[in-house]
Amino acid sequence: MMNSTNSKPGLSEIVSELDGRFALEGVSYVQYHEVAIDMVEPDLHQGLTYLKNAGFRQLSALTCVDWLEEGVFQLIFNVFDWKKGIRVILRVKIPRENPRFTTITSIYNGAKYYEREVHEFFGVVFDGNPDALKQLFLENWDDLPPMRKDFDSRAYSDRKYVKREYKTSFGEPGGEPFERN
Amino acid sequence: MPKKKKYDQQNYRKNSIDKAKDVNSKTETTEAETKVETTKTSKATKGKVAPQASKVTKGKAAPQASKATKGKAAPQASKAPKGKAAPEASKATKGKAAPEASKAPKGKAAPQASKATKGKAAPQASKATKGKAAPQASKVTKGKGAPEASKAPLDHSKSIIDAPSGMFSDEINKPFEHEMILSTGGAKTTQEERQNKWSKMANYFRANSLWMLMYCTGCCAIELPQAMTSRYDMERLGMGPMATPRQADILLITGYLSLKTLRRLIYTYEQMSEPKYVVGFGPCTLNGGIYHDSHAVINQLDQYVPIDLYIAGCMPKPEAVMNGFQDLITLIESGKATGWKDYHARYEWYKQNQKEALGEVMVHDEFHE
Repeated sequence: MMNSTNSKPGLSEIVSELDGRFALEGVSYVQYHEVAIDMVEPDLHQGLTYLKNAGFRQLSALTCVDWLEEGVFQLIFNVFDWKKGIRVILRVKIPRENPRFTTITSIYNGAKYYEREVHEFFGVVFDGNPDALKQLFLENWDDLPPMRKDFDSRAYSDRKYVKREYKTSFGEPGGEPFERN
Repeated sequence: MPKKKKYDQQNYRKNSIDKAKDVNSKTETTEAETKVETTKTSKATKGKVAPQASKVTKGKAAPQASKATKGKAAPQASKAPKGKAAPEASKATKGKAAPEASKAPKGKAAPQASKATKGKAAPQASKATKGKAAPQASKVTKGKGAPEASKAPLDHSKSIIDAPSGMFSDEINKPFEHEMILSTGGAKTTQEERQNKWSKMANYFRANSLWMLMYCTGCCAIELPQAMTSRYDMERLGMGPMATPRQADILLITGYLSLKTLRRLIYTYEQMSEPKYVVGFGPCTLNGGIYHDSHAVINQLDQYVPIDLYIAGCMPKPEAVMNGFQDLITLIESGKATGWKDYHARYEWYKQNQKEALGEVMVHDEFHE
């Protein structure tokens, strides 16, 4: 089990610095060089700004998790310090209904593509990113954002794509084993 | 145990040539014995020279010498529209001889010697454009009757005339017309027949030189390096990779296709020049494979572009890949790989399917606008 004592030097200092400035929801040491910190929405941009100035120059990832039962989206910002070799993951929860978030392109410019991706797959709109609504991977998408948990991928595939028909029955899952005709 | 015959590498070729000579000389003697009457007077000497009657509308007629080593010699009437006729010697040693297209340039007539050494030869149609004419080819046939040319399987002159490239205009073809009727014994071949012969010949050459454009969308592409490099050596089949769709014959689709890649695939397919063949690799192109229920991946590729061949296996081993290519070559040679024709015939249907899946085939993104 990772904790502040057996993590990589520099990691626990960053956590205590952040803890002194912001109200942290939770801290978990994920790996030897990696820590995940839950923050509240208003603090996040300041937290990212602080980290960037503290040496975390690279935004490794910006992604999203759909917590359907809680009714929230969790945005995940993954930043890395190349000099110390440590990684900090900032996590923030936003409501699932009408999800909006302020862009972080003013802090990490490379986030503009991540934000377009998150918009496409989860429907989160990033205010302030001029390209936020442009299509990136899915072209002419005509349904719910496909990475949401309530999106039925199979039903969409069945509806949209022509399936090859076979004379042989492959049986139902959990039913009797099929016999080749 | 019988002693194994040692392979004589040094003298193998020489021996085989000697053997062939023996056989030839034997047949020659038998032919000489069984030399029979021709439709017109023909002299059969050791060289078996049969003079031929040639019809010349204007100018002088010249006798024609034809040499027949086998079978009966069947002389042919030849017409020279204008000018003088020049003697022509054609030699047919064996099998059916068929006329061959020869053009006499303006001015002098060139005596012609056409040789049909063995097997089936091509028909000959001589053409005199102006001035002195070059007479018609002489014909030597095996068996009965003169007009054998219509049965000749390879009909070069006609095939070339009907080449779809459009490099021979109708005007140039006109003088050929009546001569061709003569050379085929009055049986005029239809346009369709000639077209079939042309495509048969073309398919033979197409099947032996194939350039592939590899659209490697999925994991199956990892099987291609083995098939291409020294272990399985695809190039011995006459296949090779090609960098651009404009010069490629085969479009190889290895693996699943998302809607985004399908859109680009249709662009690529329509950029290829015809004839073009499409090979679907692995089950993803066949029925979606392990991505059959994905929101992003299409299930049946042949709904959107015509597929000539599927290679099964997830992923297909290099053996299967090579086997598939062999099959493709067979299909092309026998003229059964007609996917590109199907795309013309059912263009509306394909477009409808593409539209249903993609919404719009046209790409709208920051790189295309």
